[in-house]
Amino acid sequence: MEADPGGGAVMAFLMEQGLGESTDVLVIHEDLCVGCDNCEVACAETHGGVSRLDRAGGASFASVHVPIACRHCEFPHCMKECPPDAIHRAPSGEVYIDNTCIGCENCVRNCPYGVIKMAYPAPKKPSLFSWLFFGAGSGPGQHHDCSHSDDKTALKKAVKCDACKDLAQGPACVRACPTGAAVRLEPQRFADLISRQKGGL
Amino acid sequence: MRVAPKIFHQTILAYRGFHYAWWALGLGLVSWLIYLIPNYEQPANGGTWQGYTLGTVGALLIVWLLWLGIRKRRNDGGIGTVQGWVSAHVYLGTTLLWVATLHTGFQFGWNLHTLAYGLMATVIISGMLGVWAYLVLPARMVRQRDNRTRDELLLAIVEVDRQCLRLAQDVHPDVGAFVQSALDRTVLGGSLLQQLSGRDRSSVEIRGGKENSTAQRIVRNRNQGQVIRALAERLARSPGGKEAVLLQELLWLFARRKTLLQQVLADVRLQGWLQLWLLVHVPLSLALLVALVLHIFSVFYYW
Repeated sequence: MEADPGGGAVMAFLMEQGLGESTDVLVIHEDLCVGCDNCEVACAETHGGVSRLDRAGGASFASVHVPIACRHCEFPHCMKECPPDAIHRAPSGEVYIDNTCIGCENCVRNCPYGVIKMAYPAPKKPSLFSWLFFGAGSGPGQHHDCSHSDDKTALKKAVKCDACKDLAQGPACVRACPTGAAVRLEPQRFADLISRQKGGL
Repeated sequence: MRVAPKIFHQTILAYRGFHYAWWALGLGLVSWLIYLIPNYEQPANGGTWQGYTLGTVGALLIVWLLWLGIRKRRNDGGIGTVQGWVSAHVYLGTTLLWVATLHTGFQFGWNLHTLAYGLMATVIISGMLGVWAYLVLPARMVRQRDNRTRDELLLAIVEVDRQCLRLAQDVHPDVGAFVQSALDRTVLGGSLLQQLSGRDRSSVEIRGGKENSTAQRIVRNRNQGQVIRALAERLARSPGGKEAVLLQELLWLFARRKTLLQQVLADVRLQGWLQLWLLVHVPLSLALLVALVLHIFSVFYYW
């Protein structure tokens, strides 16, 4: 079955991952993914230094990989019990967390897919010159560990994918993928995805 | 929901219906036509008007091809997608070999100009290997990992090791020490060449020589072969009972361990080959830029 899985098996896998309630999900074709993590870098670079995507995490089946990233559920579990009501759905459909988050972690507990994480704000990136010659901070594309902060006044807040709703060009992860492995799909297109998987690239 | 681009997974070659293949073909044809225009003053070379035209096109192409390194790091905007840039990079980079060859008029020598050409050809050929690696190796990696990540494979090895150690406490101390040694002396990773070879360099410490000898020696345990053989022999000599059951379980665990280790080694090997071409492509691209500047400078300096 796994060597030559039928479309039904792939669809069952997608449903097992909870994609039935998604509205916009990142799907990676593993036959194309070279593991460069440009998607994560692009996500971090366009979201204040904190990536909201874990490419290597998540489940795979028949070369379809569902990374750990928000799938913008139709009825978002994360919205329940948010004290400051900081989680919204944009008119264009994206579920996002605004700046009023108080860091209570209710959304982290409520999300069944583990796509929300708590992070301190990343420090400002040093200039290329300072990084190159004086080793200041993290360089271009380098990850910053946001699980702790030197700033005692910094507040840990919930962060998650907002599908780059504020970027006119579209999701940074997809645009940054050099091999075309990353695409965002609505559930209505899963059947197309499967038929293309079976037909080969 | 905001409009998601109506694209599915496409390879860099098939991007937008081979869009940039047509661009490359057109550029190649135009370059050839320029080359074919008769020049009655001198034979084809880089110094004719055709040569200068093709040289200018080639130089601009090289600068644009190098710009990919900047574009892929600009995540806050930029024209097109990185995949589109890569697709164009592949096709137009391949065409550069044709354009630059026509530019030379097939005149080569032991000089700076031919050095620049040689560097360019090396960069393009390494890029072709990169395209092959990007199109072929990721799928091989997925198949051989059985839909698991490398971290999951390593965690599975840790779990098998934990079970081996638990069983090793209940078997004969010699076997226990042997099992412990096999676990301790398992090697993954290593130098670049060792990773690229994918060979298992694990070893195990065994009691050597005669019966009752306490001398220890270290032997190779490639693919857990030594430990599996030794456990099988021990099992064959075993009178049965609990010891035989434990040995049987250990044998099963080491067979499982062998498979997992082979999967990790193969994954590391393929990952290495997937990235190896970049070690040639990127540094030589920068060397090419320097050689190109010197080539242009020397041409106009000695005009």
